[in-house]
Amino acid sequence: MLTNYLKIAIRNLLRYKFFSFINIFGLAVGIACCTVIILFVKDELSYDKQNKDAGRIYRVVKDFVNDDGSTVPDATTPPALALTLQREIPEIENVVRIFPGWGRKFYVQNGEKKFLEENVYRADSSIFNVFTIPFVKGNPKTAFAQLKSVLLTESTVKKYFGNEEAMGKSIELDDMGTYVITGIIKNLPRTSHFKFDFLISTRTIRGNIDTEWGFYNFYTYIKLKRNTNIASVEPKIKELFKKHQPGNKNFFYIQPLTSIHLTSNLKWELEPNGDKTYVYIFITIALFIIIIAGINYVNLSTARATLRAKEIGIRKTSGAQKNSLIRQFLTESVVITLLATVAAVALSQLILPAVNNITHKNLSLFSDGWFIVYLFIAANIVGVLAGLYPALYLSSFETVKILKGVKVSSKNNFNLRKALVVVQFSISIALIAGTIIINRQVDYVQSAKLGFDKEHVLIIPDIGYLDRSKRQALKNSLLQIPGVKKIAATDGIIGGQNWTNGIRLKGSQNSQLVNFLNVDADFLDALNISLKEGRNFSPAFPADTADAIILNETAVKQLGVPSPVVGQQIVWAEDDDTTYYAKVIGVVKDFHFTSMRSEIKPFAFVTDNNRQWHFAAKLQGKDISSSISHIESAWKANVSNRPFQYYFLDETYNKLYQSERNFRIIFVYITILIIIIACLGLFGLASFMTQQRTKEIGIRKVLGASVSGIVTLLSKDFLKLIGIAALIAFPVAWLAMNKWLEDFAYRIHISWWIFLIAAIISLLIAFLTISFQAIKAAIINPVKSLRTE
Amino acid sequence: MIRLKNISRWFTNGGTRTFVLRDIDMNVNEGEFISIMGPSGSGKSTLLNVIGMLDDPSEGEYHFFDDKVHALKEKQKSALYKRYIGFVFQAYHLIDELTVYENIETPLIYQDIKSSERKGMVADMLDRFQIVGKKDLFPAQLSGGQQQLVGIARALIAKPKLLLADEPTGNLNSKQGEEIMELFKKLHKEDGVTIIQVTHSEKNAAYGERVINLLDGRIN
Repeated sequence: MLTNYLKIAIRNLLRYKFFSFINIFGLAVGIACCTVIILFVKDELSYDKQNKDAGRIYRVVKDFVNDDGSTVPDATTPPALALTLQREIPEIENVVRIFPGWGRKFYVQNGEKKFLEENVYRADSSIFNVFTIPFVKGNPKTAFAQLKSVLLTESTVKKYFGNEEAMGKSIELDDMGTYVITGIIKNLPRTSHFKFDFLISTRTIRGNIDTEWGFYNFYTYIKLKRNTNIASVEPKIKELFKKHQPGNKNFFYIQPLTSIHLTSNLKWELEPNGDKTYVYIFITIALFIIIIAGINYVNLSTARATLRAKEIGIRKTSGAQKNSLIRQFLTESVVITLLATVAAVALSQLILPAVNNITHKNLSLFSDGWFIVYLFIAANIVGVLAGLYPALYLSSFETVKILKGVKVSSKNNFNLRKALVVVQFSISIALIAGTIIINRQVDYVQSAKLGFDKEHVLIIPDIGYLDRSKRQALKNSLLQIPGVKKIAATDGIIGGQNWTNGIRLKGSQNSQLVNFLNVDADFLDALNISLKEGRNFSPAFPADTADAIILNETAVKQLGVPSPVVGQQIVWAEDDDTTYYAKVIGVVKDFHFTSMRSEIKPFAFVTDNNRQWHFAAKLQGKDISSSISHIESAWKANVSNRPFQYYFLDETYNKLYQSERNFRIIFVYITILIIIIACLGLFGLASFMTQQRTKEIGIRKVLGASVSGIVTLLSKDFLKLIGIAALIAFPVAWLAMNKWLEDFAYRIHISWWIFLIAAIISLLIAFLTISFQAIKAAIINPVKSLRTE
Repeated sequence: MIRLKNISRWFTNGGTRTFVLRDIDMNVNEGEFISIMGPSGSGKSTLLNVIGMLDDPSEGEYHFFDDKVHALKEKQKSALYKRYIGFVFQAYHLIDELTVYENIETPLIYQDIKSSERKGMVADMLDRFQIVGKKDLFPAQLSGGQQQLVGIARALIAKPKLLLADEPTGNLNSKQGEEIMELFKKLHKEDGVTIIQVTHSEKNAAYGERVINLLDGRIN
């Protein structure tokens, strides 16, 4: 019996090639799209799961608490914390401190092979007990037995040693000297929330960090003993901190290791985090796509029912019962879904490289052998579900009516098809509106006035290694280059990294966490940050390097600095019995130093000639590339032992919106795909409806109807449906997009015309889709269409 | 074999009943060959459909052997039908996507007959109707007469006791029609199949042993 079903299914597919194509292609696009989304979501959810005991590992983080109660969530902790936790909380099996490179680039050398390396991490040797880090050579017990030991990942070994044996060899780690390679470890998986290429011991950090409570530069991870409830441990951590740092209000809490990637997003994450919202959005979209593709199937199958009616009648007179007919039609839908799934696998393979490129992931259908199996099972479930209604509907035809030639037309069914078209187009219109809004917001944040010039600013890192006179010499020779307008020194990057300090107005208890950069007197001019009052730093005031501070407007407001602001004293730091003061010499207008997601925070500049890590070169003139090559020659003339590096400030800035840009691209693609699938369905349906009305059209034409009159007649019904869909889509899109925009402190206003445009676009697309069929039917010679009856 | 008592079939349209069949009393014995005649709209096809259990009477009793068809459930009727009845249509009604062989085989599939057995039965039938050479063709590749032969072969494949034919020669030319009628005669004589046919043509009606004339839903 099954072979008979299969035969009929395949012959039907071949006979109605056009409908088969729409059915299979529509489903294939839908399944492919879902597959890619599922792979993406699966990848996002798999972070840090390579650790065997991931369920018992937590990261301790804190909120920096300002005196007004406002908080700044921050992932860093002081180094004394970990050891104290281990000593005083019995539920904790192990702790580890990790100290990343903090943006520093190490100039690593093995003979002739020299590279700048950013991922040089330091960690306690307990890292191997907490995390699962497989060794290729060496072993965790002896890895850090000697102080100057370094572990390399496999790919780093390849980079410096090729195929040579690296174990026991030594390598130069910048100014830290020679280290011996005591272990080679597997590369950390891409889905690890931190990745290092070099690992050295925390013991190489100078000073006694084990009792240091003020140096918030470490990441603390704890591993609980088995069968311990984390809820009982968390309060103990808070108490412990209070006990050891009674005056400090910082609020400590813990995060499960596996939730860091999607939910943490604190200040100073080791790597950019993902976003749970996007995972939810994509899951929703995947569901939409499957629904839309399934709807196409239901719509086309029921619309084509009359074509199958005769067959059903004959089968019934041959003794078929309802059950066997249902089985037959389900078999057909499974055959179609199977074919669609095969096509979808091929399509996914085509799309994946592009997706990997955008998301910087390495998604693959075959990384997990079971995935394809699950995919086929899931696709078949969808096939059966989508086939169920048509099967029930088709098998319930009354034999006598069919064989008498009574047209099988059911009003209910047509209403259902209409409802399904409305659903499809509601989703499409909502997505079009969403695309427009996302587009406008991303454009807005990228082009908004930041309050400083980020264009043509070249950042030259790595000047901290030069002593002051050499640095000055380099600056002078750079200024000789005609394309260089200004050279300024800084210890951080606006839009990249800066440091923070808690300060307060003298005489006030209101301490605030303020962002800082240490800059020279040329910095404000180079970036065109405007002074609101007071003055800039100046070599004419040598005392500036000791205590001068320039605040931004927000800092003035939040610290509650009374006017005249210039001249006020700020409490910079307090030791046991000494208080260090700074004096406000100027106020700059607010500028956006981080992403537009967050509001402008307090910011301040200080000046200290010893902390100069980067030059910011403001370029002028058209020939940027010749200026850069001049700068490079000047660098080589002044600096012999380090390579020249540079990047543009606006690149740093662009990175802030990388995830938004990716989201925009993916959203646009998905919208286009969904519209294509919906239009395929509409096209099939319209062509079928038109066929059904061939006789009516013929009669109307004989009676004198014009072509345009008939096109209107045929399109009208469908366009009405799109109108209804628009009314459903508007509020949904408005609510959803408002929610998305809430993530941005600075955002566009959603105007009504966005929805109008979305509706017009989908109306046009729908009309084009339908009119193709309608015009074809309208221009046909009525004599021909009437003869077919 | 068949006993119809007071069978009526009507449609309700806007409160008024339109009768298609009215108080039909009729008996059919096993082995009879009956022709039903009458003008268009006299209820011939409806009567045949009621006998063939494709349509339910609005009123009256229908006994098929010992079963009260009017009181049976859909499933039981279907089983009865499968076992005893074969249907031949004016428009042949072959499944376009199946070959001659597969069309003839279809009823056997629904009777859960094993594949090997089916092969033999279909081969016999093909042989008997001399259409072995056509077994892999699709209906569209056959002439009307050949299609009707396939239709009859399909109706007979499950060895029905009762063959119902609704204007079996209506779409055929006179020579093809004659061949089909000869075939019916032979089936009746040699195999003892009970045949009820609906026809417009006096000549075809004459093949039957008994003619029932219908006019406006009543037996004349």
